[in-house]
Amino acid sequence: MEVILATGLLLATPILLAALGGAIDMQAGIVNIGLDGMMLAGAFMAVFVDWKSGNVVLGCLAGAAAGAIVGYLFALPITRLGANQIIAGLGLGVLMPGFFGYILSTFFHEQSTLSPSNIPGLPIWHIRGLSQIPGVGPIFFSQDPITYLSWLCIPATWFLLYRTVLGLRLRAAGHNANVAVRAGLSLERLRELATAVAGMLAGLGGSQLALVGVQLFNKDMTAGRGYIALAAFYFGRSRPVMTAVAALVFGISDSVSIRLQTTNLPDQIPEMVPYLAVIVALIFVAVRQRAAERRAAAAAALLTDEGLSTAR
Amino acid sequence: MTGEQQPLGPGPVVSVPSPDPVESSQMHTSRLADLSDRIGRAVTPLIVTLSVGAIVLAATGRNPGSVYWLYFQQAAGSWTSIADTLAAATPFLLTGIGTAIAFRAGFFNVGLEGSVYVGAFAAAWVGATWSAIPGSLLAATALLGGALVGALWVLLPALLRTYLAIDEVVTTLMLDYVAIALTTYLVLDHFLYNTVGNAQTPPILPRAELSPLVTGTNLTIGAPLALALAIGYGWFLRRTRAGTEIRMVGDSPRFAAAVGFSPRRVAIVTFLVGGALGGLAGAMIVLGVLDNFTANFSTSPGFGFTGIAVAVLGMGNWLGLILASLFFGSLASAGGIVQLFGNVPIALTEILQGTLMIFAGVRIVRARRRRARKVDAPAAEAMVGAHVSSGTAEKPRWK
Repeated sequence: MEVILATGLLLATPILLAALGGAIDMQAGIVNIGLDGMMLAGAFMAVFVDWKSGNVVLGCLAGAAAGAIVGYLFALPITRLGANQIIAGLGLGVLMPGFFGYILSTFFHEQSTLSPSNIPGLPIWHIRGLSQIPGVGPIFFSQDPITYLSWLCIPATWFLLYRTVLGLRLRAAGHNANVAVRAGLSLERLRELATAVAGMLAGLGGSQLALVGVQLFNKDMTAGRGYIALAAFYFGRSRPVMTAVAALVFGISDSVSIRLQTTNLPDQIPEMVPYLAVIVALIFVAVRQRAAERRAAAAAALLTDEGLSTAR
Repeated sequence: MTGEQQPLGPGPVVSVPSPDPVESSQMHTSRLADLSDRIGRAVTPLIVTLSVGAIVLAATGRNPGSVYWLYFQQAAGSWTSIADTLAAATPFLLTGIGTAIAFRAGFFNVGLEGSVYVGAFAAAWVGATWSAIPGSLLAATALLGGALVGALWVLLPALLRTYLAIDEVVTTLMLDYVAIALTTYLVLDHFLYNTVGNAQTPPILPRAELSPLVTGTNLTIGAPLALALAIGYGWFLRRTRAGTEIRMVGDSPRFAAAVGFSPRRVAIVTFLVGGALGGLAGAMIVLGVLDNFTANFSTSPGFGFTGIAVAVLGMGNWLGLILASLFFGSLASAGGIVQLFGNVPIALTEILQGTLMIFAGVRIVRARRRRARKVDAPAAEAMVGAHVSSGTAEKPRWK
């Protein structure tokens, strides 16, 4: 049980980071479906730089930078040329595995995997004192540094969105574009910035994915984690805390599915959980909204004579 | 876009900007401008894509011209290669039409990848086990079964979209991944034949197979069928009342509702037709190419996802869809051979397709009348593009 939860939190990290990025982007008015591609870019650069420099910190920074650059470049056709963000996002999900597959075959003579030997991986930090707490300790306080960082990103994202001027501007760009334009803000720049930040977080998530445990890159290694992140920020309605909760739950369900692989139970069932959960959540929210609207309409109808005659 | 195409005039709630008075008096010019705008929007992403591909090729020490020429030769250099290209284009055309019809009605159905999977699985199951059905009727039953299951797969998102206004992009995309996992589970746990490579179901009965029209290729009766469906799609949209209804709802759901059309009916019908075409594509691949259902068969980059690229490159026009499916069919059929003989990684195909999807619909040169229009609030919004509020994504629009 402890192992499942600890592994779950570890597996949740790329999803959590990408989902927080996606939430920021969504608040700024971009539905970022390209997170998977940005994560993959981060994973590749992290492995490559880690391998060439022998420094895992540099590797992670390079991963985050690669994600940010891909995110920024991805935003440009959408903000400047009127490309459709959904199709472009799906396109990035096709382009990036192809791009890295091409790079791998051209420069490394590999079809899909780059696994340099003896490169430093991410360490596991057992936090002194805390990791000895029975039950909680081994689950929460024996993780890799990026996982700790990803948890810090939850309040940081909240702070950015709700307690800074930049956050206010980003939210204005997403929720009230007209007001933002009239206030003299550049929607394009705000959305490019938000997408670059989303890419950076997804890239950092990719670095963790590639450098924790086995240090290797595979062009299909994200395995749809970017889309699970999409499910997470939709589930959390782009609010940092709820998004994070969803991402962590999905990560744990991933860990359960790996656990099930060793038994005879089908592991595809937990694989479906995040995808189905988001649909159920959307239904739940919509039904509740409907009911609230109906109640409001009924109440309003009671107050006016006109309403009484027209209320159905 | 112009007054002449909106015979009922802009209604009070229509978001289409009112016709420019100058243009209404010069209808001929405006039609030409409209045509050139459309061609520009179709060709621009293609040019960008081929340029990106050329840069990638040149940067890795390859000659773009000769690589593209090799692609062309392998895709269209002989009767066999043409047949291969047509065969490869067939599922793309089906998923392209299926995606385009929902797009045209203003609905963003990206769930055809899921329909392809469940339709393929259904066809494999029918083709392998329904031995009571006589002769080649079995093939027809399997095709219909695939289409039916493919349609049912997108019924839930269609209902959620129409009755609860739930964003169909997310639900259909999520169901794509559910379908991949679900069919893998069904193969592994209920219908496993062998697991050499990916898990496979037992082979379908020989009489369920679609026999090749050209020996040694995968070109089956599916190709002319898909072609007929594309032409039928064009005719249906332009010449029937139901087609008009779809186009009206796509242009302005509220206006269409006000004049007595039903956006709900249109949503459900376009989703179901799209899903059926996806399922049909999956069934054709099983009956004509694979002869079984193989888990994860639709990868790099997936028949349903390619359908989205076909729909946007073809701009929802039947001829455009055919040409776009041929383009992707060429890439798919030539990619393997080009990798073998030209030492060009097959991943180039994905680079080209991904780039094309990113740049689909971009306008690098704005049409004259767009530039001329006074910048008012809606136009300003249109210019920044990608306007999203309350989580509803911008829908693709084409005329």
